Amino acid sequence: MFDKMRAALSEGRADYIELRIQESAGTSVGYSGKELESIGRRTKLGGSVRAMVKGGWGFASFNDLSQLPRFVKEACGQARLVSRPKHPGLAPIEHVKRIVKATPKVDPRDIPLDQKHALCERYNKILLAGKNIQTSNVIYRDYAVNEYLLTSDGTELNQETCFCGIMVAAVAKEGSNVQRAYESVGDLQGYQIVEGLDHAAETTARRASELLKAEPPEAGPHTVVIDPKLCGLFIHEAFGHLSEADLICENDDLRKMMRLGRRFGSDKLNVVDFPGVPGEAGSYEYDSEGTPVKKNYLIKNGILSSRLHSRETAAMMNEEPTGNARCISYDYAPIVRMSNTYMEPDTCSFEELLDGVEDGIYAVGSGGGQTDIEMFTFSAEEGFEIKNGKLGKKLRDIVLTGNVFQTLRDIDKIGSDFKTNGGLGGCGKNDQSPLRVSDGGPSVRINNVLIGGRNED
Amino acid sequence: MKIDDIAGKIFDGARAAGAEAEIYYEEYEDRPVEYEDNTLKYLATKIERGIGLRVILNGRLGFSSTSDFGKIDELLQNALESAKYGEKAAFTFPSKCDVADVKTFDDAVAACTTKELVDVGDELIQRLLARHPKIKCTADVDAETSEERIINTSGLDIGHRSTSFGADVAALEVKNDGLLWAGDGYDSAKLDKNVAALADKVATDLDWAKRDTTLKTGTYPAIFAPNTMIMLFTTICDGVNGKLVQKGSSPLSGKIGEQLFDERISIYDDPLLDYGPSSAPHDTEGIRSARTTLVERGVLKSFIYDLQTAGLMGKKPTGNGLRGYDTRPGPGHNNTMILPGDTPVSEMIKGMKRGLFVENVIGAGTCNTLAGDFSVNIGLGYLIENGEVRGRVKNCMIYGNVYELLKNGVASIGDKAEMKESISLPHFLFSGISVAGQ
Repeated sequence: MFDKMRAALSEGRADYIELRIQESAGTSVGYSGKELESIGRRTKLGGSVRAMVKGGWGFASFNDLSQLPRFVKEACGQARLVSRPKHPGLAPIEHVKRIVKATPKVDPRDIPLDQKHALCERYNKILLAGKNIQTSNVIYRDYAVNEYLLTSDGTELNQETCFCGIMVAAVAKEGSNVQRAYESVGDLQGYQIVEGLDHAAETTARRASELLKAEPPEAGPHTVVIDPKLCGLFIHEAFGHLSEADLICENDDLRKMMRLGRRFGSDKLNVVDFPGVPGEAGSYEYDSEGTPVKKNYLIKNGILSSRLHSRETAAMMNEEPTGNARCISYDYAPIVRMSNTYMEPDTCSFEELLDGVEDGIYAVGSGGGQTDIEMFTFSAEEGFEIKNGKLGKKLRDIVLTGNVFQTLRDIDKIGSDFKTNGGLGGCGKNDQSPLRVSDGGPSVRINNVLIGGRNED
Repeated sequence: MKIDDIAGKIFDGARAAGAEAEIYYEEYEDRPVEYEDNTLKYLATKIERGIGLRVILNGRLGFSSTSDFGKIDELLQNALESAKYGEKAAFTFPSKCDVADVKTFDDAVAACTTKELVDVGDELIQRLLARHPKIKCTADVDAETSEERIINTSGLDIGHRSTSFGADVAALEVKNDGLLWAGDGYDSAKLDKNVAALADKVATDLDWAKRDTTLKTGTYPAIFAPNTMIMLFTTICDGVNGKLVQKGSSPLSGKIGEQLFDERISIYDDPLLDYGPSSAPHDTEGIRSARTTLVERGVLKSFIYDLQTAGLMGKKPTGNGLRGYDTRPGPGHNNTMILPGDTPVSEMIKGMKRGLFVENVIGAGTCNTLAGDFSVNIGLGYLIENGEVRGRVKNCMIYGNVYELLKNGVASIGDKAEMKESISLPHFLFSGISVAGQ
């Protein structure tokens, strides 16, 4: 493959040319209610060329590999038409010639379809047997991508990725009250992570049913304790996206706002992004530009200490590349993305987090979020009232909002527990969605978090 | 290998295995030009083609897909294996389709040059900078041509071509204490280089947001712009999706014929809008396109179905079987048309003593969308006092229930509909929206 790619690359003329070919195959199984709605294997093959001339980029993506030289010339031609003033080029990296194999403990490609089907069927039966359960969803997915990356400045990488995960969900219904609960696991560890989830399926059905009796929270500002899963979502939305350097690198005002050394939170606040954690949903050894990865403290002791870079943004900001240039698939150009993003734990016990909270909310689980970079929302799967330091009645529909310049400062206690989450979902940015990422952290207490409520009938 | 040859090969193999088969072939060429920091940054050409293969073997549905045309045998084997476990098919592949008449292809879009796209993008940004010199814009303009073809062993062989032209811009103004984003876009099957209106609208959003104001927690009348109304109508679209109805998880199950919404609300699924962003003469299963009345004067009239869901529920297919080549068909929306009302937006604003204008929101879809609940941060919104815009409202949430609002909360409906992401909708004025603020 590299021979063919090298031959095509030699036909292009540009400051930088990157050729990428991906072959992928995946299996999915999907139950919706009693019906097995989908099962089977699908394949893809495609490639792209990205070329840069004086800071202007050309890009061509395609499925027909027999025309590689044509697409190389096209991308270079496009790049020549675009020229951006005073472009510093790309930051240098160590150029690697390597084959990186996926290392799942149990390879999902070795598991017969029959077995995957039986697993999903079993979980689905457990979900549907729950009290008040109207319908269910079980989605199993595995995929393997074999990628060839060749660049004009010396990188020659063949990386294999193998992802496996499952989501189980239950919808409970009582009259017109409909509530949903789910659990999702998914990462690079292997097929073994989707086995042994009978108990998780039972719990999911029970949680959906219990939500029927839960009430929405009172709207307004609250002291909130969040669990590790929600902490992961929080730090992803509140800070992760703001760390992506492609947002700020060309904007002087944003660069001033995000100067290294600015304080964002207390001394106890540490936030990391690290693609090199083995086996997580956002893990990889080399990013989509071939840059080796490293552990990156975005916030250290409350101070902004680093950000997420591609080779281009690193050059523009005169900083080191970090290995965060990622494309979701061959038909997209790499952009700056998170990988595994988490808050580090501190020393507080759960009791200490609740202690002193007269009237607050304990919110758990991740229901998704969004950010416009300054303001962000993050929603919980469920929660509980906190009254005088003790957990009280169950709550649902907890949607929290914050402002990056305020909310991180309002974190007042950080727990000693820690958990990271992957799953079948992922991160969305500029149409490249869902990109596999993980997030996580400890339980955390935050003051003055605004919560939306629900109209009481 | 040409698609006819591929189809022949697959159908021979399928018949030999005793199966019926359907090929969905899709190819497209997309040419976006992208701007960052007010200047052109990327020129791209994205060409994609793929095949989705459905089979019915021993009465069961199987599916696979590929974009690797060197793996056709594997494609068939994957589909046949999938059929071993598949759902029992509640339909048969149609043998013919009397396609509807609708314009979906504009030669001018297909012939659009890179220079033309760049000229449009340059004009869009220059117009914005003329009114707001300090902003930084990202933008993209793109022209796309696509083709789909559906061939099956019952003898069907139909297809059509479409074009798409669109422009999008997001303007960022960094202020002393925060960020201000304003942006919007449009798309259509027809070439539309008129970016002046788009630029003016975004520039006006920035003008209105010049000052920041605060809002206390409470209930306020509120105008929701089309970019916000999308959140509400996405919930309704999910509710009328025949698949969710069949599973019993739609709150609209069993409610056909009931007055569920304000009588001023009528909603249609319309694949026959000439040059609409989601128009087609037939759906992706080969069913003739037709306009479907979903809600008429507030009364729920119909759900949308694909062939399988229609079969399971004993209903006539509505021609809403939609998909990309790498997914199975499912009930999907074409152009969703919400009829405009009779109140100009300027009148809604003039008549407001103290209330909100919500242009867009953050966090849509993260609440219990099945039940129609929403709880979102006001991304871009304004305080209106005595008929005038006072400034931007920040760090506030609005929350409520879509079904309640659209039944009991509508004060008036705007007289002009705008097409956003294949949903055509006007502004709505609601008499009371709950706000969690300062």
